[in-house]
Amino acid sequence: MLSYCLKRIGLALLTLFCVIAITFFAMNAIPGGPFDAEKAPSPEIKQVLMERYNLDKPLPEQFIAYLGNLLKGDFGISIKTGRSITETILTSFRISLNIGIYAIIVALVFGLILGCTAAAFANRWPDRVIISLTSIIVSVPSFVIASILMLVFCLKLRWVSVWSATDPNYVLPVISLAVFPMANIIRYTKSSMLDVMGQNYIRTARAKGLAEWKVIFKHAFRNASIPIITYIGPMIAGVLTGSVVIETVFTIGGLGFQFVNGITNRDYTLIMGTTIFLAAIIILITLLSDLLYKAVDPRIKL
Amino acid sequence: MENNNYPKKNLISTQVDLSKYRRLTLEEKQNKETESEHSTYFGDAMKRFRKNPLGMTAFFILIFVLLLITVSSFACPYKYDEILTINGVRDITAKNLTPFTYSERELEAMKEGAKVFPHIFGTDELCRDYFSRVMQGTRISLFVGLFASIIVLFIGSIYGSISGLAGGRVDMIMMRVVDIIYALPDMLIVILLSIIIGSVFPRNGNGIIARMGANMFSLFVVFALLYWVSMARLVRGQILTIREQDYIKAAKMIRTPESRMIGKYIIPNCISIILISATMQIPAAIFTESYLSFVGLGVQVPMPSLGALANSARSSMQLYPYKLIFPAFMIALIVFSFNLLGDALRDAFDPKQKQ
Repeated sequence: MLSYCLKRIGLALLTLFCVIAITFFAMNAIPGGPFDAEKAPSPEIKQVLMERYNLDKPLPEQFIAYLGNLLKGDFGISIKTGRSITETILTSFRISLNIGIYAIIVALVFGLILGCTAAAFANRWPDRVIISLTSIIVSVPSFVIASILMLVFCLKLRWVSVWSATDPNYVLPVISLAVFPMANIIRYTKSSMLDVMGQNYIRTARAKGLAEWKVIFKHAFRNASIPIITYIGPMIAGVLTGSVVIETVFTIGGLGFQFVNGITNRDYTLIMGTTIFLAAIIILITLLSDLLYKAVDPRIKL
Repeated sequence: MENNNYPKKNLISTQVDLSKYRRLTLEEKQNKETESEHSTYFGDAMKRFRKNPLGMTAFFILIFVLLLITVSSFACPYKYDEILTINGVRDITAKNLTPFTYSERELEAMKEGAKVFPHIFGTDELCRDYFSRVMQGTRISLFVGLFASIIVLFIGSIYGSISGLAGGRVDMIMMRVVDIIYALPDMLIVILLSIIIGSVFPRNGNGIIARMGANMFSLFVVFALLYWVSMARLVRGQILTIREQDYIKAAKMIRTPESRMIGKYIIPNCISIILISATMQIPAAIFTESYLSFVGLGVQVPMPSLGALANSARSSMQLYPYKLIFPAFMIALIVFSFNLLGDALRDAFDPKQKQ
């Protein structure tokens, strides 16, 4: 167990290092420095700026300096706005975190309930309806789902107000962020439930005369939900990258929005900061869910 | 039969009482043999596939889409990047037409007897026929999907089979590399690489990259760099399981050379699963492309892709919702059909895997 944990942690650290290295060297491969904008400063000023931001040093030295700053939690400053990126990330991440947590709760609750329903009514109409809906959901890009939701409920029916910083309305962003992971959870839960329902201990539970709902929720569901843990990592990664789309559609100033902003403005330091931050979270959560899975179900061979 | 009339040793014994049965006649024996036809693995699988209604529906939908994009390239007189003209003059009244309507100029021309092909999906804000744009977008999206899955298939199966066949330390190192790439947050790296490749390669010029569009090229590079890992894992796993099979042991026993073993036993036995997984890769690539189009890194204008069309329609969706609906519907139709087709093929070729 310990050696497995150490191996996983080592791999996660290595992956994180790769992300940072790829991001750093990739951003430096782009022709044109940060001060070659439309209004290029004079050579003297440029020299001073280059010195101030350590850009005159050789690349490996810059990389080590950047790593050192990252360890201190300093992502540098935006080359477009001059604001501290750490600050931008932290304030915008709070917004994303709110929406993300709601979305994960919605996806888990509805995913598990609908997945169990589909398994309990396997090959009958509730199963067919649920499974066809999930197949349709996973076939439509999330920005289309979000746009259509906004068009119908915000603009045409006017049931919910459009998102604004002073009056945040979480309903639509959360729904559009949750549908995709929900569809996946439904599929996993259904197949896992069907798997468990064929086990001997379920037959035993039925044989001793337990009510069917008790068999399903007390005996089947608890065991069927274990494999869902492995999906937590990819789900959080999906919600984080999905938030890039959803926040842009609803113009919510979260982390995903900053990321797209960085891309459209070619704000390289901001892109670097957000990429590394998001990647670190994704890698960390994946690591935790893998370790948790192993801890919860000792039958799993490593 | 006469010799088989043993008395039961025990009253409750389950010993078969052979006197209750009779032997098959010669004729019946022959019939029995001709009843089960000779069938191949592939033939069996196709038979199972043909019996799957969802899979067949998906298959016919895809055939229909293919026919649609082929026929429309001959039948539809408008080109995807052509600004509508009437008698050689730019038709400024043909802006944002709703489906199956004609512009004022076109109506005038029609009164004079000219024939105007209907705008099936209307026109866009630059007076281009939207139907031909959506069709071109479908072509591009399908091309991206197919080509990306071929790249993944190629790199993944070569890498996976080297790793699986080599075994030992080589396998271990190669799989660690796969582990790391697998753990990378793919969407972020895709976007990052697209930005870099897009800015490193020239946008103008006559090279292949410039003609394809730097963004589309970067999409393929990204697939070649990142998305092959699950394919490599799959191929390696297949090879490892096949190597443990009895017929491989038997082949080894009679000293079949390694090259013949790979060509004759290993590749044919895992090819179907590899191809199915490649089919599943197509919708994933179409999705990735639409995602990249969303952040502004998709195919280059005026070239349309379904994702790019849907994305650019978002800004005016309150006025012209159909501009979002048509490409979105095409994406959904294609991705949905490929998903169903992949599932049906997997069930048909690998019935054991089905729960």
